[in-house]
Amino acid sequence: MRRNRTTRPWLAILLLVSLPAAATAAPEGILTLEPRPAPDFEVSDADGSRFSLEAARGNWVFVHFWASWCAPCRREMPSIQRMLEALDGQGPRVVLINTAEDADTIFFFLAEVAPELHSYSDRNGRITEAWQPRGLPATYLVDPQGFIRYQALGGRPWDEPLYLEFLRRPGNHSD
Amino acid sequence: MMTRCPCFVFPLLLLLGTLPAGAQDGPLAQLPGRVEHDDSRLNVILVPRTPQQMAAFYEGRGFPDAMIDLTRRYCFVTVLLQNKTEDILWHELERWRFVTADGTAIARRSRDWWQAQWETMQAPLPSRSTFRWTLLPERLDFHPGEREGGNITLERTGKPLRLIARFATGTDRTGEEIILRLDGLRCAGDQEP
Repeated sequence: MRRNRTTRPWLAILLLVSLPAAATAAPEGILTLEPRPAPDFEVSDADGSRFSLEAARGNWVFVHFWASWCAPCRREMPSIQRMLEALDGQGPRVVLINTAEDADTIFFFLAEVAPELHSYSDRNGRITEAWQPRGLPATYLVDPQGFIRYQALGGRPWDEPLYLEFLRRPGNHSD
Repeated sequence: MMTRCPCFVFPLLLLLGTLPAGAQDGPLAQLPGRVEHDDSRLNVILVPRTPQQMAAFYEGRGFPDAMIDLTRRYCFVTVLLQNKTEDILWHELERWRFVTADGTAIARRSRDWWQAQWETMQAPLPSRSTFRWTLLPERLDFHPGEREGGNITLERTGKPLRLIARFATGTDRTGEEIILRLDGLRCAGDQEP
């Protein structure tokens, strides 16, 4: 009994100290940002399907900018396809936004590198301009309240376990 | 404001997207005219591009002739930068100088300058956007290990060039300044002025 009384406070302290650790670090190459409102956008694809960021509130959203001429995009896109297969409906909504290319270019590029994916088009580049990525490819994670919380530096191996774990529970990660 | 500084090397870089397909997976060392600086803090690679290379790239993306004609008049150099320090490295093109052996400064054309040209000729917005994304950012807070690439554009000259570039370091820019001097760059496909 006496032993239990002396250890309990320490256990409580340990528990308190370890609580912040539950927010595990984001994977390498993922910057945790000071939350800022995500610029709203509405995009469509070649079939007329539309996506509105505002309408996606309540969900995490994986916003990915790319172009066919960008070699890292070509390398990264298959990993996004595998990521979606592995997540199997868990994790954020994923919206791919092509920067300033026509429908044929988008179609033939995806058919070659990631045929299961489909992308929306920022035909005039204005949405990309509003988001001001550091370069292409660029990926952001927008929280359910519409704030940008994470930014990926360049292309990432999204289908690797650390990234999948991060994407399943993005709100549980910090610096 | 970004608060995390990952140390990571990108698998490929934006600038490689502008290289001929056969060069994308090959060693950069094989590219003609390439010059490089590499030390414990910074890696900088410059690859001059011929007017034909640039025209082919932009023609392939549906740029109008007037845009391509203008690009042919300038010297395009693809730049690859990597921050090898453990701190923020401030890339600012306004602190880059290109000079000839006699000290003559060669003007650089900024992305604002290009945008003004495109505005004047009422270039299509998609082409303007693509062009902008193929340029090296004017300013960037490079995170440790981060790489970025893109083109810079200079007035044409047939003379060899020295690059002198200054980089502030540290989140608050109070770290030791890095001064880079890199010789031997030449515009590709130059005609003697």
